[in-house]
Amino acid sequence: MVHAVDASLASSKHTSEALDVDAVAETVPVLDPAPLSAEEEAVALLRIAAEVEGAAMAQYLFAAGSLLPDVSLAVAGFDHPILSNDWYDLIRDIAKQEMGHLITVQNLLLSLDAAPHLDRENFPLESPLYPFPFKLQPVRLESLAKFVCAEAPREVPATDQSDFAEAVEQAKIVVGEVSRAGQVYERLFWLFQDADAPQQPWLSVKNPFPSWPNWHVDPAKMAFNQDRQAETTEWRGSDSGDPPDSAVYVLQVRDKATAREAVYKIGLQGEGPVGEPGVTHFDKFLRVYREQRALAQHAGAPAFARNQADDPSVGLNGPATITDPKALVWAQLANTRYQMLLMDIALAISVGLAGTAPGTTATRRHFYTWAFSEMVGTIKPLSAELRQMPLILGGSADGPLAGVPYELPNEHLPSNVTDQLQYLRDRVAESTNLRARIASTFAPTPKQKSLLTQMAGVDATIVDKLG
Amino acid sequence: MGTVYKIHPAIGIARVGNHPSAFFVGPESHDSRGVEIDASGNESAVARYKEDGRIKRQAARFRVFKFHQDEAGHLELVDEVTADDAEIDWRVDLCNRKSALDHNPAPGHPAEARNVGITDRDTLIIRNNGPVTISGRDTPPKEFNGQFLGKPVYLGELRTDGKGRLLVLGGRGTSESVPPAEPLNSFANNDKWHDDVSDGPVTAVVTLPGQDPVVVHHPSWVIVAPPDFAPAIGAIVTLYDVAFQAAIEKGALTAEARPSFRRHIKPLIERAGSLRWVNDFHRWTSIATADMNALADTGGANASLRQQIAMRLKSPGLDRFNMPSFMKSYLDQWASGDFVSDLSDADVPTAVPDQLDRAALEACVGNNFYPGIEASISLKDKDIYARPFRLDHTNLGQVFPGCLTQIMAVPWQADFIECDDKVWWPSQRPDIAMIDANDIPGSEAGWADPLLIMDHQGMVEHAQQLGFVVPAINNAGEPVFVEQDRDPKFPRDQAILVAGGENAPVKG
Repeated sequence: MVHAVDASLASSKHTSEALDVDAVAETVPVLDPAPLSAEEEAVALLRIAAEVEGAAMAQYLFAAGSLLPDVSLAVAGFDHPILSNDWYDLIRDIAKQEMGHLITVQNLLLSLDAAPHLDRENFPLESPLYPFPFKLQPVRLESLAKFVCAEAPREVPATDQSDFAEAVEQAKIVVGEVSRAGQVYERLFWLFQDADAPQQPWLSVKNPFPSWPNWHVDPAKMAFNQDRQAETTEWRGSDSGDPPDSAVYVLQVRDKATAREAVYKIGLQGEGPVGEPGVTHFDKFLRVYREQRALAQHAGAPAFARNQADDPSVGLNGPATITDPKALVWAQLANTRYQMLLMDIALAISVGLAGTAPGTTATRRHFYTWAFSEMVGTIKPLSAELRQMPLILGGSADGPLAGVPYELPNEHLPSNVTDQLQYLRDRVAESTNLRARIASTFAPTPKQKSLLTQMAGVDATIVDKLG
Repeated sequence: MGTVYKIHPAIGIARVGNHPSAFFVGPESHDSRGVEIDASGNESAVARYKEDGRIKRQAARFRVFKFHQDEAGHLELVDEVTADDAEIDWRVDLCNRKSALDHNPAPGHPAEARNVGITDRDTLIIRNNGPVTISGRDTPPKEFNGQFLGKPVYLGELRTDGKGRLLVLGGRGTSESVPPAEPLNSFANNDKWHDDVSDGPVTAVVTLPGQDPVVVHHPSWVIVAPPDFAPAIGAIVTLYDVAFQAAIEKGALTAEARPSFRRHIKPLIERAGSLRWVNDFHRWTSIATADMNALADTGGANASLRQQIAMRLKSPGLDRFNMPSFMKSYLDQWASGDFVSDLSDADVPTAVPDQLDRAALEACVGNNFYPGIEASISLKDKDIYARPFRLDHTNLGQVFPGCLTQIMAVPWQADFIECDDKVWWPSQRPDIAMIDANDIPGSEAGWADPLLIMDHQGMVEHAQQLGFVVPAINNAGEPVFVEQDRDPKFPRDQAILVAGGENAPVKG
C-alpha cells in the first residue's frame, strides 16, 4: 500500500517547492515509495482519493444522522430560518455525492489496470494529502469547521475569507491543520493532461510537479477494464451532463480525456479548486457552519443535534466505547453491514458485465443490488436505531448516545476476488449470529424485527448465490 | 353564437387493480376520494380499496357538458348532457407504447430507447384493433385487447353508468415479459417487458332527438396509472399544478396577483403535512401541526413561521423535486405577508366541469418526473395543450394514443420499488405505514417490507398484496392514517430472497 507522507519525509524525485496557493499553507506532499512513473503516481493518488472519499462519506453520514428532525429557528442576520431538515438534506446529499466520487475513483483505478480500492486510511500518518484523521462526530461547530477546511477551494472567495479563517482556527482546536482534499485531484488532473500546457476543462491547474516536465500518464497505459467499470445507471448516478449541485456523478473512463472529465467533475462538486458558487461542498458546509455559529450565539436556541458520542466503537481495534450491551450488539451488526457494503462495491467492479464471480452464481448485478440494500435498507435504519440507544451501560436517553461506528479491521480489506467472496461469506455468518443474538436477547421492537427480517433476506440471498 | 360540447374531466385518471370486477370512480371533487356504484346505480363514498384481498380498479368517469358560446367566444355552462337528453356515443383509444419507445426523451431523463433489437416495432405497441365505442345506460363492458410480442394483453374496458356517462377502466396490474422470466435490470427500462397502463383520447358524438349528430368540440384524454396506495394523501406539487403552470406559460391563465391563504397556501401545507403518514413521521411534524390561524395572519409576528414553512415547502427534501414557478411566487408572497388572509371565508362554488378537471389531476403527483408515476414530464410542455388542462388533439406530433405514458418506467413496479433515503412520491407509493392507530408512531413499519430496494421482480409479484394507507380515528378520537388491507399472506416478518436464480435474477 502506498502511503502519503509529509514532504520532509520525501525520499527523492519530487521537490518540496511550495505551491503558489492559499490560506491552508499547503506543502508539496509526496509519495513514499516514490512512484517511478506518472501511471504509478496516478494509481497511488487514486488510492488515497478512494480512502479520502470513503472516509468522508462515513463521517458525513454520521454527522447528518446526528441531526434532530424538524427543528427550526429564526435568527437575526439571516434572511431565512435555520432548519435542521435543511442541514440533514444538505449533508446527506454531499455524502451521496462522495459515494459517486468513490465509485468514479474506482473506475479511474480500473482504467489504469489497478485493483479497486475500498480501504480507508488505516494507518494515519502526518500527511497533507489526507484532510484530517478519521473521527466520527455529530454536527457541531468544530466538526463543521473541519469539513469546511477539507472541502475548501484553492482560492477562497474574498467574501468567505474571514469565516474561512475562523473555521481554520476552529478546526485546529480539534484536529490541527486540515488539508484540502482538492490537492489530490489537482495532481490527478495534471497527470491526465496530455502535456504541460493548460488543458480543458480545468485550465487553472498549476503544475504540481514543477521539477518533472511532462509528468503525464501515457495514453497507451490507460483504457483498461472497460467491462468492469461501474456504469452510471447501476449506481443510480448522474452522467457528466447533469448539474453539479445535485448530480451524483458516476463516470466511466475510456481514455485520458474522459479521465480528465471525471476528475474535473469531482472537483466541480467540491474537492477541486474550481466550483460554482453556492453549489460546492465548501459553500454548503460553510453555510451550515455560519448557521451553527449563529445558533451557538443565540440564547435559548434549541439543540439541532443529538447528544451523540464521538467515535462510538465496539472494540474492533481497541477498547470499546459502547458499553451498553444492546447498543453494542447493534453496533457490531452495523459494522458488519458496513463491511459487507464495501465488499459488495469491490465485487461489483471486479466482475465484468458478463459472467459470474468465480465459484458462484452471482453476477455483478447481484453485488451492486446488495450494495444498495446495505446503503438504504440496512445502514440507514441501523443508524436510526443506534442513535436512540445509550452509549454506556446504565446510560439514559439524554445521552451520550451511540451511533454506527463505521469501523474496519486494522488489516486491509481483501483485494482479490476469491478473498473478497470469502470475506463476504464470513460477514454474512457474523451477521446471522448477531441477528440471532439480538432476537433472542434484546426483545426487538416491531420496527427492529422488520429491519432484521430485511437483513435476513439479503443474507439468505447472498448464501444462495455464493454458496 | 352557438353550442359547444365539452367532455370533462379534460384529463381523467383511471388506475389498475387486480380485482376482476370491483371498481370505484376516482375523485370528482376536492373533498371526495371517489365513489362506488351499486347494482341499483346508487353511489356512495368508497370505503375500502380492496375487496376479497384484491385491488379495486379506479375508473375514470367522463361526462359531456353543453356550453353556450357568445360572440366574443366566451363559454357559459348550460348543463350536463346525459342519456336523458341525448344519445352519447363514446369512443376511446387506449394504447401502451412504452416498450416501443425509440428515442431517449431528454438529457438526464431515465427513459431510453427500448427493445432496439426488435425491428417490427408494431409488435411492441399494445393497442386494441381500433378504438372502442360504447353508448347507452349501464352498458356492459367493452374491452380493449392488444398484443405484446404476440401475447394477448388486456388493457381495460369501457362501461357506462345509469346516466350514460362513460367509465374507463384500465388493466389489472399485470406486468410480464415475453418470453417469461426476462431479467428486470432497471427501474425504468426493461426490454421484453410490458405492463398494462395506457393512455389515449376520449371523444364522443352527441345526438339530440331529431338533430344531427355533433362531435364534441373539446375531447378529453384518459390516463390509466398504477394504484394510488395513499389515496387521501396528496403530493406537494400535483399534476394540476403542473398543468396550471403550463397554462400560464401558454398565456391561457394567469396567476392571481396575491395568493389566497385558503385556496393557495393552506392546501399546500396540508398536503405536505400529511406526508408524515407515508414518509418520515418526525420530519413533517411542524408542518402537520402548524397553527393555521397563525399562518393565515398577515402580521409580522408570524413572519418567521411563514418563512420557515415556505422554505420547507419549496425545498422539502424530495428527490428531483421541482416546484412550478407560480407556486414559488405564491409562497414567497405569503412568506412576506403579501397575501389574502381568508381562512374563514366560505368556499366559492366551483362549476362541476372545473371541479372534475381539477380533482382528477390534483390526485396525481407533479413533484418530480424521473420518470414519474401517473404521467410523464410531457405534461410540463405548454405546446401539448389546446387550452388549460386539455390536450391539443390536433398536435399529432406530440399528442397521440400512448403519448403520456410511453416514457414511464416499464414495468411500473420496477420504479415503484426503488425508494430511497429521500423520497419520490410517497403520496402514491408510501415509504412507511402505521399499523396500529393507537400506537403512533410506535407502530411505524416499512410499507413495502420485506421487499428490498431494487427487488423489481419482488414488486411485480407482490405489489397488489401491499396495503393502502387510509384515514382512521384512534381511541383518543384523533385523526390518523393507518394501513388497511395488507395481504396477511405476505407478512413483513418473513425474509424473502432477492434473487431466485437464473430464471428470476436479482433486479437492479
